[in-house]
Formats: sequence, structure tokens, C-alpha cells
Amino acid sequence: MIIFSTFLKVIKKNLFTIILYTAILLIVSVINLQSTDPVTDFSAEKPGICLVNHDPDSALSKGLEAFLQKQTDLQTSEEAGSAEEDALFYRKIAAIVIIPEHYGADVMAGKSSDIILKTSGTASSSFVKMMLDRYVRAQQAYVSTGLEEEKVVSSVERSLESRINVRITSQKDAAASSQISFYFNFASYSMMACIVFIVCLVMSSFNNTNIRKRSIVASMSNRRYTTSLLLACSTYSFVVWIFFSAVSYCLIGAPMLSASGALSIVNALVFSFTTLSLSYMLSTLIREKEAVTVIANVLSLGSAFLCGAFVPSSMLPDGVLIGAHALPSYWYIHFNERLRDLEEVNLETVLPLMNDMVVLFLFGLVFIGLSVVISAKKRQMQSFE
Amino acid sequence: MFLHEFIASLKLLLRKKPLVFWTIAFPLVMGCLFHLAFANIESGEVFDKVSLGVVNDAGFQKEMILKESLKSLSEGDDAIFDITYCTLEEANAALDEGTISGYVQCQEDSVDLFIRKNGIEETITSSVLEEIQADGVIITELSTEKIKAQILKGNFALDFSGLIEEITHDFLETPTHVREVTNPHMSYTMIEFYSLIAMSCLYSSMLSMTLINYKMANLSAVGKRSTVSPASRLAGLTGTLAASFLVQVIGLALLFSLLIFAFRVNFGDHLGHVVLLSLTGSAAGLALGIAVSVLFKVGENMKITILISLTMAGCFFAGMMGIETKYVIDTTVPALNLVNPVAMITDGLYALYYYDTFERFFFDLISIGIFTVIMLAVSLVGLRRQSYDHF
Repeated sequence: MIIFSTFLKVIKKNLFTIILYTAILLIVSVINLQSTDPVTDFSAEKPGICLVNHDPDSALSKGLEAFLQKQTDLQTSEEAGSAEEDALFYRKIAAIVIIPEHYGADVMAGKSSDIILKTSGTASSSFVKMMLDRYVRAQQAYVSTGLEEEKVVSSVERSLESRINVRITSQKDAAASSQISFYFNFASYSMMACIVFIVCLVMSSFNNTNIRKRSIVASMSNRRYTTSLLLACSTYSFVVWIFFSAVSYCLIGAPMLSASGALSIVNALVFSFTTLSLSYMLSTLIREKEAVTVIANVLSLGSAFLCGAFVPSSMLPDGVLIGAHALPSYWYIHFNERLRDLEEVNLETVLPLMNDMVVLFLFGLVFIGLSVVISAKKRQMQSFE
Repeated sequence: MFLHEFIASLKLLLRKKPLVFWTIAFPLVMGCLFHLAFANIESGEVFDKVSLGVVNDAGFQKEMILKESLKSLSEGDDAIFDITYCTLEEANAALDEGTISGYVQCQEDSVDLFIRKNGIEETITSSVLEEIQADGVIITELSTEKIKAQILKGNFALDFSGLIEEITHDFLETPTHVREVTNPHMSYTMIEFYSLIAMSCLYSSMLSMTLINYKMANLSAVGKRSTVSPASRLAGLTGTLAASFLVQVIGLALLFSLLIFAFRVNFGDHLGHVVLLSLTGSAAGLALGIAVSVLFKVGENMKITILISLTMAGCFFAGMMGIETKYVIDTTVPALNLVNPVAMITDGLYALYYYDTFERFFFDLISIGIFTVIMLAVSLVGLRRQSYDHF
């Protein structure tokens, strides 16, 4: 009980840090986890664009605006100011389209009048360029036949009507799987920071020479002391896991009750066990309390960046991913990403994924083994002293 | 007195290992992590060839325009598609394995595109296929009009295939009046490195906080001694702050060297402005450290926790943990940026990189200056109110 109450005191003292890590997870999740309905029909991606129309009265520019309205997520503006430029830089829009003054009259008169397209160089920007080229080419072709302005617009509109059927073969709710994967991948950072920080801090307090001496001469047996300490650390990690699992349900909702959700929660449980073992091993090495903050930050941030918690692992360089194999977070995230990509979740499809969880668990066992060896060596050294 | 305080403070700062870690080593570690994690992120968003399957059956062989268009769209450096001609079974298997993003099958009266999910590659594929169909319609209409016009002129000896070929060539090869302009400074991962510079500037607060603690009689024995000593307090304080600033500048110089020479981070064309902003940001950090040291009546560890938490929260809102966060704050709660020095420094560096003008940069620079003055004024008020038991 004394150990548990000491544990609670340390948590209470560092509650602010725990809240900070949790708040970061919550805010990032709320920003990124926008709820979407299951998608089983084709819906074309609509890149966001900003249209600055300096020739709002001509039929040609009105026709182009109507086309862009249909094909893109269009917003209009009087000028391309810093708000629009910022949106382009941060990829909130794919392009800024500027229709010049007297565009309609100039095109009808056969004069060159360029539409300015400011892009961010992304695939969505390339798509906007393709669409714009397609419309303007058709417009130029009909103008060359000598048709009137309104006729040109109606002919272009008619010629660009869709004539192909697009069918989706998968019936899977891809949005929900991505949300679960995103949340649990990011949670690896918060969970690791919370567990490593607190467990190492508590253990460094108990490993303090004076406290250690006092506990040796206390009436409590060494076995009971160690068991209570381990139990307190395990209970704390378990509570952290329960908390983050509960938060996942609050943020994602019903998809968490699916098989994918349950497997992600189980994977998180194994991860919390491995992180606890890692923290226990580190606490046998760390003596100074100041070093705990350093280790907790470097370890949690390093693992998160190198294993794909912050940036999808598909976007990480191959060399980084090979190196990341040596970190437990890699196997945890690898499981989540493979689970996300499954077309159907059943025993047959999930079994091949379980090797990630097994490796993650083995990491935990290795850390425990190493902490036993390090502690034994330390005791041996102390007895020589 | 100034020199004595300066040297003593310098020794003291450099001997504190956790302090050296947070102010010098931690930004360098973060810089390395950012470089490793973000090396590929932007190349992944650029348009690459779409892997497309085509069911090569009798139906496809009949669609001459589609066949020729797909062939031309999969050739050359600016090819849109990487096409695999296959059977229906092979196409289905490749789609399930994810080696193609979709496949085309020609039916009696329509062209069908089969995909596995919605996405930009799938949308581009569908759009290009629609374009091919639309081009066919337009070329047919243009050819009909031209033939009609020739017949009305009494020209009956027409070379139909030559005419259609000419119209097709004119239609597809005539350049469109769309001029694409792309700012060369569009690398949005720069925000991560800029927020890192800002974080490093703000971590100087720990240096000043540590040294000010040594000046406070209620916190340390050294503080008691220096408070009762007849030495000039102003000279002592300036010596202390100069030492903090020097250590901070060394840390910043190391960080800039790593980012510029090893990782080739682009700070735009105005390095002088970047240095000015970073030094002002460091001064803001020092002022923040003094304010926290004076205003919070807690132990040194708690003060470090407060400073790290404040800086990390500032980094979060400035986009370090997700670039999008900065944009969300800029557009929805811009007032938050007026009290967040990390955001001011990050935004100032962004303005230098992305914009040709200096208005936004100077706004950020002045904002940091005002923040520094407020912090110093608050500290001064706090220091003036401090009194110890008099005998």
C-alpha cells in the first residue's frame, strides 16, 4: 500500500506532463479524424481551388466557372491575397486560378489571353491543370468554328459530359480503418511518453540509495517490496492502456466495436506491456531524475518519428525503416498498418499479421530479461563494494 | 564585475548537463529526426504515373480512339499511365494485390473503369478516360462541320481521312491558353524546421531562469550571498544575461550549421533577416525565463517543467507536431499567435521563405520585440516587489 500511495504521489506531482501528452494526442486526433460515412460508390476527388475571376460578365468565363464549380471544391475571391497564398502553401487548396480581364472578348476575337494557374506542385494540382487544359482546349476548338459565345459554352458543356462507368470492387469501409490506424499509431507516442516518464521517475525515487537502504531495513520483505513495485507499475500501465482505449471509442465511435478496433486495442495492450518492460529496464540504468525527462522525450519522439507514428511509414525512407526494425514501436505500427489494409478481417487474414504482435511481445520479454541481468550485476557490484 | 559574473555564469551553465542537453543537444536530435522522417514526404505528393490495367479483349480492340490515346498517354517522359495489358482474371488479381490502381474494360456500349477505392489517382484515371471520350465527340463534331463547309463550297473530292487526321492533330497539339506558375518555395516541411529554430530560441529561457535563480536570496545560498554583497547588481545581471545569450547563440549556430550544411534546409534568400529574427527570438526566450523565474514561487525543477511545457505547447500550436495545426490556428484563432512567441518566430521565417515582401516578417519581428519588452517589464515589477525579512 505504501508503494501504491508513493506511486500516486509521483503521478499527482507530474499530472501536468501526463495531461500535456494526452492533450497533444487528443488535439491532433480531433484535427485529423473527421468522421466520414462508409464509401462504396465512386466519388471523384474534388481538389480545392480558389478562383479569381477578373472577367465575371462574359459567357466564356461564366461557363468555365460553372465547370470548375462542378468538378472542384471551388471558392471565389476578389484577389489572390495572403490568405489564398497561405492556403496554397499548406495544401488546403490545390491551385489558384486567375481569369484575366476581357478574357471572353479576347478569346472570341482570337487574341491570346492566358488563364494564370498557380499550383503547389502536388498530384491534385496536376489534376486541376489537366481539367483546365481539357476545358480550355474544347473552348478554343469551338471558338475556331465561328460559333457564338453562348453556343461555345453549351457545346463545351455537352461535349464534356461523362461517358464512362466507374465501379468500386471493394466493399470495405476504408475511412474507418484509416481512422483507427491513425489514432493508435499516434497513441504510441503518448503512451510511451506517459509510461516511460512516470515509471522511470518512480523507480529512480525508489532506487535512490537512501530510500533503498531504508526499505532494506524495513519490516517489508524484499520479495513483497519488489512484487508491490512491479504490481504498481503494471497497474499504472494498464490504466494508461484503458484510458487511451476509452478515448479511441469516444473519438472514433462505432468502428471501434468492430474486429479491427478490438485487434488494435489488443495490440495496444501488448505495446503497453513492452513499453513497461522497457521503462523497467531503463530504470535499472538511470540514476538521476533529470535524465528521466531527457530519456522519455528522446525515446518517445525518436520512436514516433522513425517508426511512422507521425508520418505514415510508406513515406519514410527505406534506410530509416530498416533501422526502425530495432524499435518496438515499428512492430506495433506495422501491425496497425497491415490491419488497416486488410480487405476482410477474419481468422485466416489476421493470422499472418500476428507475427508483428509476437515480435512486439518478445521485445518485452527481452527487456525484462535484460533488466534482471543488469540488476543482478549491480547487486554483485554493490556486494563487492 | 561584469566580466567576473560573465565567466562565472558561463562556467555554471556549461557544467549543468541537463541544461546543455535541452538547449543545445535536444534541438540537434530533433533536427536529425525531422530530416529522417520528412526526407520523402514531399516526393510522395507529386503526381507519378498511375498503374493502370487494360483488359485486352475484342471489345478493347474495337475502340480505336481509346486504344491509340492510351498508347500515347503511356509513352514519353510526361506519361500519365503505366499500362499493363492483361486478361480480366489477371486484372482482378492485380487490383486485389494493389499492383494497379484500376483497370479498364470495354463493354458493348460503354467503357468501364474498375477501382478498389476512391482517391486522387483513381479520379485522375477516370477524368482522363472521360477526356478521351470527350475528345472523340469534339473531333467528330469538328470534322462534320468542316466536311459540311467543304461540300457547301462545292468541294466534293475530299480526302476524309487526311482531313480528320489534320483536325485531330490541330485539336490535340494546339497549346492551351493556360499558364502555370509555381512558387519555387513550396516545401511545407520547412515549417517543421522553422518551428525547431523557434523552439531552440525559446529554450534559452532555461538558461536565464537557471542563472536568475542563483540571484534570488529565497532560492539559493549563492543568491543570499550576492544579495548582501556590495557588488553592482546591474553589472552582475548584465554579465549573467550576456553569458546566457552567448550559450544560446552557440547552440543556435550549431543548429543552423546542421540544418543548412548537412540537411540543406532552405531559409530563403535573406539570411541576414533570419539571423536578426533568431537573435530577437533568443532575447524573447531569455526574457521569458526571467519572468518565469521571478513570478513563479516554486522550485527549479518545477520552473523547468513550466518552461518546457510552455515551449512545447507553443511548438504544437506553431505546427511542429503537425504542419496543418499552424494553418488551423492562423485561420481560426489568429489571436493565439499574438501570445505565442514560437508561432511568431516560425511565421517570420515562413514569411521570409515564401513571400517576396517583408511586411509580414516585420510584423512578426515587432511582435516578438513587444513580447520581450512585456516579459521584461513584468519581471521588473516582480523583482521590485520582492522583499526579504529586514532586521
